[in-house]
Amino acid sequence: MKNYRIFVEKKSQYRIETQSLQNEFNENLSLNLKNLRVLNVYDLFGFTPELLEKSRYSVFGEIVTDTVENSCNLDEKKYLAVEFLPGQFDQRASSAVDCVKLIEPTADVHIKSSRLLIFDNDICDTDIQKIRKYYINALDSREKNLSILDHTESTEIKPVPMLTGFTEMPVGANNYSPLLETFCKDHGLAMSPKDLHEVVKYFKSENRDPNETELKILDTYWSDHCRHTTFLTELEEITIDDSFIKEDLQNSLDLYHKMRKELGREDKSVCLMDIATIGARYLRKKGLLDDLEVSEENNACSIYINVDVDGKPEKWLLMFKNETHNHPTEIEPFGGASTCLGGAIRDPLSGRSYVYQAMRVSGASDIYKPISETMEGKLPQRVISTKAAAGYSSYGNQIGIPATHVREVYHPGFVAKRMELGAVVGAVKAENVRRESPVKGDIILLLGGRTGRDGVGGATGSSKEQNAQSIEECSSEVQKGNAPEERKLQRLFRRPEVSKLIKKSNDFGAGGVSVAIGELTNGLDIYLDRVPVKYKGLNATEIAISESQERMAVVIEPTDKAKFEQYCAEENVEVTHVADVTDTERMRMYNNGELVVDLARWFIDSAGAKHFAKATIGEVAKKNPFKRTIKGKDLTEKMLNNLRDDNVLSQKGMIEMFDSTVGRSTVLMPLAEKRNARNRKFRCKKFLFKKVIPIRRV
Amino acid sequence: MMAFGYNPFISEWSPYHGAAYAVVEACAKVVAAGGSYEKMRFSYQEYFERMTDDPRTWGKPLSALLGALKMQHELGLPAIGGKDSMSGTFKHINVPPTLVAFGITTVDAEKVISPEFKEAENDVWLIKHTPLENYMPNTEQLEKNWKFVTEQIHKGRILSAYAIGFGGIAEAIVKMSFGNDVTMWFADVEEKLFDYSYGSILVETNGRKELELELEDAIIMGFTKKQDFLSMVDSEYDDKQGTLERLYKANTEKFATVYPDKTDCQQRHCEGESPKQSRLRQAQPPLDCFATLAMTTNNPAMTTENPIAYLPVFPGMNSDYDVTKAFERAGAEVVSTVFCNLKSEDISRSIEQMKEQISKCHIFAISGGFSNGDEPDGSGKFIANVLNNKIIAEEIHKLIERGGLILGICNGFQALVKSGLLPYGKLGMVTKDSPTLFKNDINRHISQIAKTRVSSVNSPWLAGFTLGEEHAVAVSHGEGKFVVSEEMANELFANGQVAFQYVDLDENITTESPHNPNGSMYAIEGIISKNGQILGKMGHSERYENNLFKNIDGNKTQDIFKNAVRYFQKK
Repeated sequence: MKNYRIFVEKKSQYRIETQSLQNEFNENLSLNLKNLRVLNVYDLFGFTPELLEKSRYSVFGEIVTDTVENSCNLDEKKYLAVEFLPGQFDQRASSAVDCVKLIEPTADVHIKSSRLLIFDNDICDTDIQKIRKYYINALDSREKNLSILDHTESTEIKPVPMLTGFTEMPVGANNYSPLLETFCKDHGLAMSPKDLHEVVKYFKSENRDPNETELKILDTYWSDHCRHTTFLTELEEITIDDSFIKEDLQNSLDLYHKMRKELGREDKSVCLMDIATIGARYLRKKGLLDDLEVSEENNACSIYINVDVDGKPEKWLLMFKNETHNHPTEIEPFGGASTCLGGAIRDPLSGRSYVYQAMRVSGASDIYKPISETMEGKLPQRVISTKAAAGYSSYGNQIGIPATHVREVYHPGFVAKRMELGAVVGAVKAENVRRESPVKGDIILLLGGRTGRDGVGGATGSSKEQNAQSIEECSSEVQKGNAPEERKLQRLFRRPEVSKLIKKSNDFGAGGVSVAIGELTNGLDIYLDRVPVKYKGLNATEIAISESQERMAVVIEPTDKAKFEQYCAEENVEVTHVADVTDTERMRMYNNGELVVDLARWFIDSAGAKHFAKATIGEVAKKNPFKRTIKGKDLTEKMLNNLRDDNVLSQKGMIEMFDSTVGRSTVLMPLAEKRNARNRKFRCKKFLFKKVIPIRRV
Repeated sequence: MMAFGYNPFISEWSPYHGAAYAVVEACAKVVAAGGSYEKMRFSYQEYFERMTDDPRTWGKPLSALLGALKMQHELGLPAIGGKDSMSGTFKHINVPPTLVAFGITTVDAEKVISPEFKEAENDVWLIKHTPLENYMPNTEQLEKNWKFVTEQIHKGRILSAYAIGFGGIAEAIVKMSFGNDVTMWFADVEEKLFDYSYGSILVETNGRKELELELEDAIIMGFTKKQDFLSMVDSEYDDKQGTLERLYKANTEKFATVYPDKTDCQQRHCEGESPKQSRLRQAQPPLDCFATLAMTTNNPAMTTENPIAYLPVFPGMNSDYDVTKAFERAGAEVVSTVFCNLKSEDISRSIEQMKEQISKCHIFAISGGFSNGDEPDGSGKFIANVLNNKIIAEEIHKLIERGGLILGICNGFQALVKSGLLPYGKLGMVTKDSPTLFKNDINRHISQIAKTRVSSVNSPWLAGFTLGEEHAVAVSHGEGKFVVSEEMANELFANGQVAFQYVDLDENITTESPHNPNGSMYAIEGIISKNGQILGKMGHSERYENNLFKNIDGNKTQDIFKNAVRYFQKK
């Protein structure tokens, strides 16, 4: 058993990727590289010489296109080696291990992948520095030290600190103690001092100090991302500035109050959430929304439709969902955008529907601006835009969901933060879905991907304001998507014999175990040590709050366990019984037999302190908002210039990156034929399995 | 069908109007595509700056939601879900106040129309929305207009329609002209050509003067003409300047500087060759007529009405359902098993399972996808390694011997090539000079419809086709460039092993992007083994059925599945 490092390089006629990277460097960084070389480097642990030879040209390289060497002469050479940060998901290494296991199923091997860039000899250090800064996103990668060849993982588990003295912090009338503010800052909490004040009060009533895990769980639970803190803030006073539209605004506000009255909701607080949801409540009461599926699961919008299956009508559920990943995409575009789609898919999927189409609307500032003019603390717009498109399309193309409508919208304001917005549609035959409230004795199974450290702080991170330091500081707050893993879950849930066993399900979006399982029901005993982890060394806090992609929790009856596990085994899905439903009205978590979290449901659900704000709708300038001025000396020139407007341009080169035909359901292609350049303005898909989409007219 | 509406500039001026028009725009798009707005269901996405103590920050999402609520109420279209993101602030810069409206509804696919002009000598009308004096949508008028358009589309009197978007009527005219090379002659109307006109729809009617007097808000804009330039009654408008080519260039050039939309010929040549030599080297070989194999199996033991197609599902595969459906429609019985690899026992169990299924099947098919994410750095590796497993390899060779068929599409084709099954017909033959499938010249994924030509019928898979027959087939891949030495290419052509080749609009075999989407040498899209039993191709023949790709012309049915099933059936 030895450790090896091998170097894989494309033969000269296959260096298209190298060529394109060189062009990218030269264009974006104003360099003049001529002989860039790019090598894939693999650090191999636990290999015998025979196994290395067997896998050399079947796993690491391909005999036709690559050379695979055991060494690479770097004497006198200028180079840069780049590897993922420890704990980042590395699809390349992970797939390599899978392939090696096909050759030697029992081999206990470990692989690390990295990239080696070798530059022209005459490159100066300033230029290398420029490349280093441009090429390495410190959020997921770092420069690799080639003199080290080992993979010793830190398996030391950081103890979970007890927050001794927590309940001694002052509470009472003056609830905005500076002490609380300092505490929030010191512990990196996203919650406000007002929320913390509630926590102190709560633990006082429990007569004990909390530990770090409990505090972090509350912080995650109450983050804007999970709990819509902003949308639930009570608007105690609403005023409208004078302008031509004031009367109409006032009428709309009156309309809202009229609806509240008619619905008997006047005791509920006025907040953005109420205004956002009251329209549907009102129309439902008026009988104009009889197709809505109403249940305690609400991860996606769900309506009943009637579908014609070979001449026979069937009742189906159509589910749809939109989701943004603005913050993660802004700081790590590829991973952020790919997990945007992954997350959006899991919502209807947790509702047991099969997602069969996707749409993407993104927002960017000027992508044509030279890289050198990038604002300090920001990635260049062009890089964010192209890498995000690559990330989103890579995930969708891999999982096999067609994106037949993709559009990027341009506005200077998006330099503040990108908009990365995905929408998906899924469907399932209604009779294959059962929705039941969990009862004592039911068990909760965790399916899919393993937990790592890369998802710690995702929910709270996106709810914090980004500042110039964000790129350097929140190094563990980005994740990579793993589409093949999610595809397995899709296959599993598509089987009616599986979906009929599931009483309730939730996906692991933001917040990890604590929120995904925590939301399923009121009383829970969760066993953290049973949660499958990617590597040793995670402590209770990390296991409880690390969000992860491609995971799902389901509630089933205990008698269905063996059956459910069998189906998972058939679909290559890892499944673990991690929690039990209780009637305690408390969320308890155990780690190796020790009770580490014990929180009352009512307190978790209180969502922290009640927040109040005043709202004023500002003046709207009186001008024709529809007027566009297009420059040009005559109509011809104006016609041409109109077509050159950033928001009018055909986005062909981006559209074609997205698989638009998988799933046998694309009614209209995104680009019409012949010239292949018409941007379609909407998306149209056939209904899953069906010849036609019947219009619902029951 | 689903559509979104959003204009950041209107929203920035007034989030109230912005949200209202987001709803209107989504409705208009659905109506223009042949759907009805009346049962649309909405989900909103809000994206705003971080809220502060300043009440005016709160006023922005508040007014947007009120605008949307007004539309819900007036149009009777509820928002049954939504998401909010309230962190669009960096230092002192904010994202524009954003409410994106996603509207969804179902529609009979028969009724769907596409926006490009269909034929010459049809009237073009603007179904015009006139906003209220306070610039809010006139929903009463919109409802009347939209119902009218839906009705006329369903009656077949409106052939194409375009919901006016960001670039105003001018954009609609030009973009409807791209596609079929039917453009329009437009009258010098009073309409503001470049202004936003959300809610309005430009329509092409079936024939002339049909809609006159039927709708108050319909304005005649001109008529369609078979020509490759826009024309207009206007002295300052120069016909020759408004050619489609010029308009197209203006509409695509800038974006392509960031997102390339075609391959630069410079990139394709091999080392030591000039681009010109490279093109010559890849010149088109003659299309010969090849002897046709017996198109019925000569092994009586394999004869059956319902042959069994075995489709293993590997990690990362995504076209298994589509291929299953295609085989089932063709009359095959499909057996599928998932290749499991969580534990080492799973791998051994899966290998055994595969061996058993291959031994029982008539057709062994590998569907498309991304085998383990096309990692480590190369497509189809995982599958190729399974195929090369000793137990599996032996069973595959037995299948070939008894006259079974093998198919690989896209990722499956890559696995067949990388394992040696293509072009050699058996495993373990790959050398450094073998053909391969490599990254597309454009160095990114491509998804489009490609035209291919049948270049051989020397296989049960191709038995239903005639030489030279053309198909329009979906391609979607990152590594589809067929790379082959001249020597091997000559051999493949001589043996009749080249099954399909990419052709351009004039039916010529082409090595140029975009008609050859990946830069495949000799324009090769698919090949067969020498004995014709194994077919591998990049194009997704399984992705078409009736009522799909409605805006694509051509022969979209390429039923290799039926050909294969017939091979096993008694004649």
